[in-house]
Amino acid sequence: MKSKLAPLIEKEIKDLLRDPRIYIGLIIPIFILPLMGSIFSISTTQTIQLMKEGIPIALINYDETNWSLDFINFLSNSGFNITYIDFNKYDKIEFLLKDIEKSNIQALIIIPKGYGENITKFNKANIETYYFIRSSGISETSILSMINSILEKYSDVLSLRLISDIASDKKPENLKDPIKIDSLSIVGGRVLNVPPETLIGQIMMQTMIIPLTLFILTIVVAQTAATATAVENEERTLETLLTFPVSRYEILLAKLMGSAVIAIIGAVLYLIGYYIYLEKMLTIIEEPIMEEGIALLAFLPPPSIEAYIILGINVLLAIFFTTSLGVVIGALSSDVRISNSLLGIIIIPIMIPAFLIMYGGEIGNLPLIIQIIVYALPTSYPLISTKKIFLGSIPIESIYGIPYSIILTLIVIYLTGKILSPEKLLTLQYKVKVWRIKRKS
Amino acid sequence: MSEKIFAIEVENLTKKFGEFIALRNISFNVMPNEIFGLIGPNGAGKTTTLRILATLLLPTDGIVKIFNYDIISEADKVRKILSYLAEDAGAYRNLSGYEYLKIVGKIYFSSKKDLEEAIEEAIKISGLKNRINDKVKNYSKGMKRRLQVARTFMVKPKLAILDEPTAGLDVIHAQYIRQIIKDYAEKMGVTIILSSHNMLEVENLCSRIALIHSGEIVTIGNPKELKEKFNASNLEEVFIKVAKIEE
Repeated sequence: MKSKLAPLIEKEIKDLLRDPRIYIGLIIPIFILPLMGSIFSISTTQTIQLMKEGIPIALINYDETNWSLDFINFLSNSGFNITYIDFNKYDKIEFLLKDIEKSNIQALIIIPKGYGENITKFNKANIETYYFIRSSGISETSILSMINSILEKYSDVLSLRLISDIASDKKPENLKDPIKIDSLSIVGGRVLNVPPETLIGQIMMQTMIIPLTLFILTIVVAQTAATATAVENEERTLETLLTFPVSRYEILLAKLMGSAVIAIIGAVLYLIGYYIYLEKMLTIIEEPIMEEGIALLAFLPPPSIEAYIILGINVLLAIFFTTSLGVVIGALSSDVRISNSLLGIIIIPIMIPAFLIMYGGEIGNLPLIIQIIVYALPTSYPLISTKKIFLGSIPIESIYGIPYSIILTLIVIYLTGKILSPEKLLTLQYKVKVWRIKRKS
Repeated sequence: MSEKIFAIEVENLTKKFGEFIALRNISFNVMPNEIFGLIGPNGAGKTTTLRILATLLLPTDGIVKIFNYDIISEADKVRKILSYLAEDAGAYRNLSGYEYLKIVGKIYFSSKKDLEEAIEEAIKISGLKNRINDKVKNYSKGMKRRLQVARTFMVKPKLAILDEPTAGLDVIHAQYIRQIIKDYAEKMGVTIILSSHNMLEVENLCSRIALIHSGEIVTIGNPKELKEKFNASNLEEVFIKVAKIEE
């Protein structure tokens, strides 16, 4: 006998894929991840470009000694584009600062009178620096931190020169920094010759964007499954469907297969988005000027194909699991409104452990009960994978999570099949309604 | 002598939802090729009866057979020969009318020829013409109902169960659907059981009717007999008189 499953799956896929609400969830990962990578790449390129052209700064020199001229010379050679200010034109510094703010000058450096004399007498010589913060963009903050680091570098150079004058028989570097601190970072079992602070920014980037995108994708696909099933109740199509010569499991299987197609498309788009994001990040580090900046991806090879496969399976199973839950929620809801409110109640607690993984440090350090909850949910495994694979390792939990997630999803499907009869559904839908009314009152 | 086969055989059917008794010990038979009407006020038990016949609900007690198949133990066989039109039944919003009919057809027909014939017939029944290719979400209530009626008859059922087939429709759409029901019963030999609030509709369509009130069948007969029996000019009067006697 010809399988009845094919037309049912065809119905599910057509109905779901033509639902405009589904596109939001599917498009977000492939759009947001590369977009974030591009924004980071563009703003960094802008910073690099500005550095090449010369960072514009303003300077007032009240000192006019050789020491101050030496400092200005250093700034010039470090690539600054210096505008000399005649302060006599201004009654107050506030007026000058207002004028500069309107220009593209990034900082104002004031060398006070007595600067050279203080250096000669081995007193602290003061330099006033005003940074003009016009936005909180990556490009802006990088430039300001670059100016600061060049000023500190001059202080180091000057210090070495003074030490050399006093103790010409000693190595000035040793006197200035008697202890040499070698900062190495160990990431994914690899020893990287970079201090950890260089890596933190990028790790944070990964931990902010990736889970958020996955969260949106999962929610949207689960919501679509829940809505699609609740609409079957609301429009009374499920009632008709259940009188057709098809089994309850064929109906359920078709519904899950339809959602699975959406889940596969979602997972593939997510991986493509993630891949493009990494590609964008990699282009930044090719710039030689950034060698001290964004270092992580320069030191680590991109994730292996196996890592991508594990991540893909984890993502797929997480989506499949939440989709099954979506079908249960939809089946229990007599209309879409009830389904949406039930979904909110159930999905958010399911996603909280996922966020704990990303922002709460190592899972092993969490309280035992939280650890159990984290490992109990298939939604946790893609995040465990994401967190580790770009650091070069495939976490063992993610591999063990695959059969576990399959079994749990099958249990949910089995239980859904059990309730997929109008007799049970009507009773359960009635109970859900009563529970909601009681909860509201 | 061979035993007489009823299209529908209901014997002492009782349905309870928790403490609430929706149907109390009802019995009736429907002959093949008959149009049988269930009439009664809201909450009388019409839809519950039809849902049990359509294998959607299980009886609490009693025997229900469709063409001699038991609706509990032989539900799979029953589903192959019946077609059910629920009250306010919708179709999938994002599919076109044509796609919807084709998908339903694929479930019932394995040969391509049968499928094509069934779809062609369904399009004719629906009267939707070119609009059959529009998405269901763009249909009016009347068009959706016509599509559902087409879906019900396209699968060539032995028994069609129609719950309020014309409820909420304007006169033109309602008349259109009544004519299709009549044609199918006469020309194709389909047995039809329908429920309705509309006594006039039932009087014109049905060969026999059952008046149902508070989960009990209060009388059964053909419209003419019932009018004579209760000395009433129409079924509405019959119903009011019967309901008063019951109270």
